[in-house]
Amino acid sequence: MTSAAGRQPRKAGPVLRARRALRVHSRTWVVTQVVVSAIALALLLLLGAGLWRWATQVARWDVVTDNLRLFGVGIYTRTVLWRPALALALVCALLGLSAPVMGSIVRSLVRFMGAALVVMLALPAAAPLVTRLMGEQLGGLARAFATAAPYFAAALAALVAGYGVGTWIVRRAGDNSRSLARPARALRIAWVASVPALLFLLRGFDGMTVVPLDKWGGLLLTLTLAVVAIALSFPLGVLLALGRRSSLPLVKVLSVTYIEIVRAVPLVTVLFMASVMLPLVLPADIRPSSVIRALAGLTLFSAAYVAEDVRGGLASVGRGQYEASTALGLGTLSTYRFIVLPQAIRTVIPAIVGQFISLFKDTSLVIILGLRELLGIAQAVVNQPEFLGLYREVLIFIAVIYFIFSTVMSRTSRQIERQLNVGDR
Amino acid sequence: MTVRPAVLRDERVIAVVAQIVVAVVVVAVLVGVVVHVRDEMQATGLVPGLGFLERTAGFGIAEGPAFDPTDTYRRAFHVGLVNTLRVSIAGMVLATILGLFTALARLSGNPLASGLAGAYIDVFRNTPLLVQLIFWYRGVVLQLPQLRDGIVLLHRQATAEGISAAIFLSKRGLAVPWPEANAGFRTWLLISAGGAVAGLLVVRWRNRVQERTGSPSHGVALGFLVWLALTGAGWLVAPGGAPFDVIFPSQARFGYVGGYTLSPEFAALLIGLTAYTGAFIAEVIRSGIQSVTRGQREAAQALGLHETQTMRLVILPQALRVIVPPLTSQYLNLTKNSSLGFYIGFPDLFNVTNTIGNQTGQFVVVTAMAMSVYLAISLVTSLLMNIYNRHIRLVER
Repeated sequence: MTSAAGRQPRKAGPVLRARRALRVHSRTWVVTQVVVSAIALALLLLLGAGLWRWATQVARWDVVTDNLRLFGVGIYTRTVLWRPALALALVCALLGLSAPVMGSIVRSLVRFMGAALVVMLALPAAAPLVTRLMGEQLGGLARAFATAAPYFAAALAALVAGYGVGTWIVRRAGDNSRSLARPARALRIAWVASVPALLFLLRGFDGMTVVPLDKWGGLLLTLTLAVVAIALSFPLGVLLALGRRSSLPLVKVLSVTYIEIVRAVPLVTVLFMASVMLPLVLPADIRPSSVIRALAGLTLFSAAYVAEDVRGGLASVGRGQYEASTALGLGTLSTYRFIVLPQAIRTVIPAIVGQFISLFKDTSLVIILGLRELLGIAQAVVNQPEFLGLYREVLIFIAVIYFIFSTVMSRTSRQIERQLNVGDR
Repeated sequence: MTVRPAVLRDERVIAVVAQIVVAVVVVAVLVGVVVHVRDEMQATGLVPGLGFLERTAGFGIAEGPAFDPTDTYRRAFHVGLVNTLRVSIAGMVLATILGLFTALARLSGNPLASGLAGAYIDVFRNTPLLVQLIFWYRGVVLQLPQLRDGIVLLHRQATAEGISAAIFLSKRGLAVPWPEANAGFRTWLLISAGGAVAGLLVVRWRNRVQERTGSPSHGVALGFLVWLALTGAGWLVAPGGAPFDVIFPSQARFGYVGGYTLSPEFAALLIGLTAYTGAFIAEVIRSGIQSVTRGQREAAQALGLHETQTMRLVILPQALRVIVPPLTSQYLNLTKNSSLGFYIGFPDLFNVTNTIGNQTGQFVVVTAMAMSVYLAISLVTSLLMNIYNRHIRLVER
C-alpha cells in the first residue's frame, strides 16, 4: 500500500500544507488509522470489561473495608487517633493559608485537597448508589469511610478557614506587594518548622501517651518516611553537590566517590547496609528503631540523587554571576548563599520533585526491614485468616493510593516547570 | 607592598585546615566502624577475611546454572550473578520493544491508541515497582491453574515421562521448546559468525559502491544473503548431523522435563521489570523523537525522501543522540531493580548474598561484594556510554 505514497515523491511546501489543512489523506493513512483504532478499541474493551466485572462482582473488597484504619495509620494507638487527625487539619490550614499568598501552584494543590476531602466525605452518603452501580462489596467500602468523616470534616474546615485568613491577609496588603513579603517568609518558615512539629505531635510530648515510631504504619508511615527523608536528604545533597565542585581535592574525591557508589547500587543494598551499619557508628547504648534505620538508608540513598540534580543546576549558573558577586565584595560563602544557590536550586526544582516522587514510591522497599507502611500493611492484611491470599484487592487498593499521590506531585512538578520556563524547547 | 591577610583568613591556610579536618573526621568514622565490627566479630567468633567463601553452602538454588547444596558459597555468588544478568538482559530486550511500540502508539496521532498508551505509561510509572512485582507474582502467575490442569498448546504425543507439547503454562511456570546442542554445534556457530562478518563486509563494500556511483546497491539484502548462505553451508558441513535439536517439553508428575522452563518467579520478575521499565523507555523514546525539530522532517520530505527514509535517515539518527543516554540509565535502573526479585523469591545476586550473610554472619562483607558487582556493571556501562558519545559527536561534524 505504500506505493501510492512512495512512488511519486510527495509535494512539499504549500501543496502538502493544503492537503493537511483539507485533511485529505492517502489511502494508507486511512487503513492504518482504522487498523490501529480497531486494535486499541479491542484492547480497551477487553481490559475495561474484564476489570469492571472483576471489581464489581468477583473482588472481595471487605478485606479493605475491615482494615481501613490499618491502611491509614497502622497500629497507631487508638485512643489518640485525634493526633493524626489534628496533624492533617494543621497541614490543611497551612495549605489554605499559603494559597492566596504563595500563588497559583499552591492554589491548585488546595483545590485538589478540597476536592479529595469532599469526595471522601460524600462517599458514605453515596454508598447506596455505589451499591446499585458497582455491587455490594464496593458499596460497603464507600460506607466504611463514615468512621473517618469527622476527621475529614475538620480538615476541610481548616482548609477553608486557612484560605479565608490567607485571602484577608492578601486583601489587607492591597496593591503593595512589599507588605506580602513578610507573611510569605513567615509561611516558608512555618512549612519548614511544621515537619519536626508534626512529628512531635504524632509521637506525643512527655506526659502524654507516647506513640513510639514502631507503632506508626500505613499511609501515615509512608508519608512520614518520604517527607522526612527528602527533608534530610535535600541539605545533604546540596552539600555533596558543592563538595563535588570544591577546589579542595580531598573533599572533591570523597563527594564524587560517595555520589557515584550510591547511584550505582540498588536501594535494597543501601537499606540493608544502613540498617546494619547505623548501630555501629552510634554509641552502644542507643538502639535505633527500624524506622530510624530505614530513614537513614532512604536519606543516604536519596542525597546522592539530589546531589546529581543540584549539580546540573550549579552548572547552569554562569561565570559572570560569580565574578559579579566577587566584584561586589562577597566572600565564597555569601556568594553561594545569596547568589549561586538560589538560582541553581530554582532551575532544578522539577528534577527534585521527580526525585521526591521516586523516593515516595521507593518507601515501599522498607518492607524488607519489617516496617508496616502501606505495602507492609497490605502484606499483613492478606495473612489474616479470613482474608488469606487476597493479594489482588489490597495491592490494587494501595496502588491507587500511590498513584493519586504520585500523579498530584508530577502535575505540580509540570506546573512549576511551566512557570520556570525551563521545560520548553 | 602587598597586603598579607591574617593567617586565619588566608585562603590557602583555610583550604589545608579544612582538608585536614575532613580527613580526620572520615578516618575517625571509618576506624570506629572497623574497630566496632572487629570487636563484634570476635565476640561472635567470626573470622575476618574471605575464607568463608570456600565453605559448603548447604542451601539449594533452583534457578540458573546447576547448583548443588554441597557447592561452595563462591559458586552460589556466581549463580546469583548469572541470574541477575539473565533477567536483566532479557528485561532490557523486552522493555525496549514494549517501550518502542508504546512510544509509537503515543505519537501515532490516533486518539484511542495514544490514550491507551498514555494510560499505561501513567499507571506503571506512578506506582511502586515492588507493588507491581508482588501483584504479577501473587495476583497473576500464582493464580494460574495447577500443574495437571495447566494450559497445553500444540499437543504432540504421549511420551515415557507424560505428554509432550510445544507450550505448557501453569503455576509451575512456562515450558517452551529449546534447542539442545549436538557435537557439531560449535563448528556451525563459528561458521555462522564468520558469515555474519562476511555479510557486514559486503554491506560496507556495496554502500561504498553506492556512494561512488549513486546507483542503488542493495547492500543489506546482499549481506543478509551471504550470511544466510554461509549459515546454511555450516549446517551441512558441521560434523555429526544437525548442529542442534529442538527439544519439546513434556509434563511429568512434579513438573516439566526437557525444553526450557521459565520458573514462576523468573516469569513474574521479567514481566514486572518489562512492564515498569517499558513505560519509562516509552517516555524516553517519545521525547527523543519529539526533540527532532519539525523542520528536519519537512526538509527531508522536500528533498523527496519518503516516510520510511525520512525516519531512518533523518529523524532516527538525530533522535538516537538524545535517546541513548537516558535509555542507558533506564537499563542500569532495570539491572538494579532486578534486586527486588529478592522479595518474590527469585535467587538473584542480592537474594543469594542475603542468604549467605544470614548463614555465615558475614553480612557486611557479602553485601559489600554484591555492591561492588553492581558498581562494576555501572562503571563498565558508563565507559561504553562515553565511547558511544564520542563516536556520535564525531559523526556530527
